[in-house]
Parts: sequence; structure tokens; C-alpha cells
Amino acid sequence: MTTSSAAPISCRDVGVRFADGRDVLAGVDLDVPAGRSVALVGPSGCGKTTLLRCIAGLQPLSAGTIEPRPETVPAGTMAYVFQEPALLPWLDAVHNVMLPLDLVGRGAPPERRALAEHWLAEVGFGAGDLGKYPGELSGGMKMRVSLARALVTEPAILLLDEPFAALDDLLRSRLTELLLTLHARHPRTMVLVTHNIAEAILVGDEVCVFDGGRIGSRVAVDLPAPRLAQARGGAAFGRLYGVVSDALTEAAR
Amino acid sequence: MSRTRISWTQLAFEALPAAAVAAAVIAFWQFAVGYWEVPAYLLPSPVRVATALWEKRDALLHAFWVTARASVAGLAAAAIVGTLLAIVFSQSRVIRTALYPYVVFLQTVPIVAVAPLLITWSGYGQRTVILVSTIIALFPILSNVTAGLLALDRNHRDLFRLYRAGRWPTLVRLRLPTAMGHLALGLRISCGLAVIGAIVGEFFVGRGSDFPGLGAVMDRWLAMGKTDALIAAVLLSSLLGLVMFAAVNLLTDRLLHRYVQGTGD
Repeated sequence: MTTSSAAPISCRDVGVRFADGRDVLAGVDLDVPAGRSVALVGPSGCGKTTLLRCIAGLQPLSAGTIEPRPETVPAGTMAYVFQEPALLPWLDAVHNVMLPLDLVGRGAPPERRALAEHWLAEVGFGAGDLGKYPGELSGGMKMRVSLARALVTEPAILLLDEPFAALDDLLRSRLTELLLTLHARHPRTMVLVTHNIAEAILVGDEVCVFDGGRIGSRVAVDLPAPRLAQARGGAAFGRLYGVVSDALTEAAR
Repeated sequence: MSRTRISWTQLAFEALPAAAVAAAVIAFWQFAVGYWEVPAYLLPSPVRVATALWEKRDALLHAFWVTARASVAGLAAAAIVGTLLAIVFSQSRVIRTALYPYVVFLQTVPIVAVAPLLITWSGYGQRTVILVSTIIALFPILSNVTAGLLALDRNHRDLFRLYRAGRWPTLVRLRLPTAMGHLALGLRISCGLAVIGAIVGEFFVGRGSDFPGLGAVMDRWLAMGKTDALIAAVLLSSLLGLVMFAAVNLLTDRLLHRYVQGTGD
């Protein structure tokens, strides 16, 4: 299986004003080099998800520019993992994962199925469960399917909106490790929105702390990759945790 | 299989109180008719109704079958027309706002007032009966399916936008499957209405022909003062409504259960 090359993301002076006149984002600049990852953290309602939706082309900009513009790249170049698995309940696991390939018209049906099965295996989804429907899957299994669905088009840019927020701590930790393993194996540009500081430090090469619709502070993460859960116990991790935590506390004031 | 067995057992337990009430009502009815010497043309006893049911079984079963066919055809036509109209409505707000008021207007026009007009256009026959049944069963299906086609989960909608799915793939792969649960609800509401529509249609069609449906024979027996046979036909009409409801429930449960499980989260 080939991996599509990662693409950089460049946001310049991005602003979003909602219909009620509220400025959700104002003057946001963000650069994510190709193959690197950025984690966005901040209080609820500070605009993290809105920026992610802007990058995906799901939210129009009121000001500024974002490169690449979604409409200028082939469909499937960007993938989005939602907070909920958002699987189609009338499709089984393998057909849920095939869906993006069907929509972008990539490959013949047997090829699509083979790709879907490959990515389901990559995320640790059992071969015996391929025919199961979302109603028959646990929360963790559904999220694995959701992750496989995002990866099946081998996107250059992967956008994750608090993907593991609804899961328990153990499952969340396992899926974060899975995400890191996959990122090490198939590097792609990643933007992760999260409320979890540890998750942000483990996944992001840079952690951006949002403060009132702007990026208030940026913390470079210099932990060696791959940063599996063992890194959590280290002194460097603890120092970074403190820095991000202080910035978040400042933003919440 | 075990799920079916459990549901039948539950059904039996749930039906017991209703059956007890029915038995009590029939017993009181039989007693009251004899005690107060109620004339049979006003209210025949349950035994007389049962006798009429048996004696006229051939005519009643034929009428039952004719009305059942018209009701099923009316419901099927309402499902097809309602779903197609709902698809049109879901594609454009302009179309929706332009046409929906007329659909509501159609719903408010009393069907008994329209039925003679339909006979003028369509003649004394089963076609008119099916037409009346379709008109009366249409609105719940149309309104429910329209709501279902428009009530997309935000994440699902974003997913399809992200992969730039066009209008047709979005309709076929997302909107229609999402609306299947709403279609099931619409069918459940409309199946009883389809029976009512067929019987109302037969009332009018039967006055100008020897149409054999339940509505037509009821109207004839009413004119002849055969109240026992009339009540027997009324009971069969109710049975038809119940059978239709049970059949629609069974079909939608079997065929559409995957579509009524929320967003898969």
C-alpha cells in the first residue's frame, strides 16, 4: 500500500464571524509543515473546532486565507475524524470504511474492499468483525472504524476533532498510541483538537493554546518520536505538561 | 428465533387484559340487548352479529379481500408518490415553500366532499377507491419522509461534503437511508388511513354500481336495515386495519431495522 505524500497547511489571518455577529476566530496564523502534527487546545468555545472545519472547507472564512484550499485538491486529500464515530448505521464496518472511496470514485469495488480491509487491519479491527454493523460494535471498535474510514483514502492531511473524547481513559490511551504508531508508519500532516493536555503533547509537534479566538501561545514539543505512553513518566513530558497547563489556565481567565 | 419467541410471549401477555375487556363488553352487550329488549334493527345481539357473520361469510370475505387489495394498493401508491414528492421537496427550499402549502390544503379538504368529484373523473370502479385511499394515506408519508430527508446528522452531512459527494450520491447514499425510519413511521400512520380511504371510496362507488367492497356492502346493508350484517362488516373493517398495521410493523421491522438505529454512535 502506498502512502500519499503529506501536504503543508498554512493559515493566514483567518477570521470567522458567525451569523449572530460573534467573532469566533480573528487573525489566526498557523503553519503545519508537511508530515508534522499540531495539537490545538483551549477552553470550550474558543474556536479550535471552527479552525479545523475551516481547514477542511466545512466552514467558510470571513477573513484570511488557508492553503491548500480544499476545492483545489483532489477529494480524499483531506480526512476528518469527528468527535463521534459518525458511522452510517445501515452499513457494516467494511462498507463504512469503503464509503469515502465510493464517494470519490477511487478504484474498482474489489480494490476498494481490499483497501478497506487493509486499513481496518491497520487500526486493529478484527477480521471476524468486518460484517458487523455499528449497532453491534463497542465505542472503541466504532472509533477504530471511524479512524480507518478517515485513512482509507490515504489523505495527505488528517484532521481530528477530539476523536477519543467520548471514550474511557484506558481506551483513549490505547487509541492515542495507535494514532502515534500509524503516524510513525504513514506520516501525514495532522491537526488534532483536544481538551486533553497529555494527548496534545503526545501527538503534536507543536501545541497551540487558543485564547478567545486567537492562538495565545505556542509550545514546541521536543520529545523524541515515537512518543508512546512511556514518555508520560519522563521529566521532559512533565515540564511540557506544566507549560501547556499554565498557558491554558491563563487562556481560561 | 429466540427474539421472536420472546416477543410472541410478551404479545400474548399484553393481549390478555385487552381480551378480557372485549369478553366483558360482549357479555354485557348480550345481556343488555336481552334485558332491555333492544330492537335488532337498532342493536342486534352479539350472537345475531356472529350468525350474520357466518351466514354472509362468502360475501363478507369477498368484500374483505376487495377492500384489502384496494387498501394495500392505496398505501403502496401513497408510499411511492409520497416518497417521490418528498425527494422533490428535499432538493429545493423554493420548491418546498411553493408546493407544501398546497399539500397541506389537500390534506384539509374533506375526502367525503372530494369523493363524488373523483367518481366523476375516474368512474365507478376500483381505480377510484384506490385513488381515495391514496389521497387520504399520502400526507403522513409525505410529511414524514420530507422531514427524514432533511434531518441529516451534522457529521454525516459534513462527511459527504468533505468527499464532495454530489446531489445524487448524497440522496441515494445518505438522505434516503436516513429517511427510511421516517418512512416506516409514515407507513404505520397511513396504513389505517388507507383502509378508511378505501371504505369511504367504496361507499360512494357502491351507490352507482354493484361494487363488492366492505364500504359498498355496508352502505347497502344500512339501506336494507340489516344492522347485524352491517356490524359484522364493521368488525371486519377493523380487523383489516389491524392486519394492515401488523403487516406494516412486521415488514418495516424486518426490512428497515438497520435504518432506525440513530446515527451509529
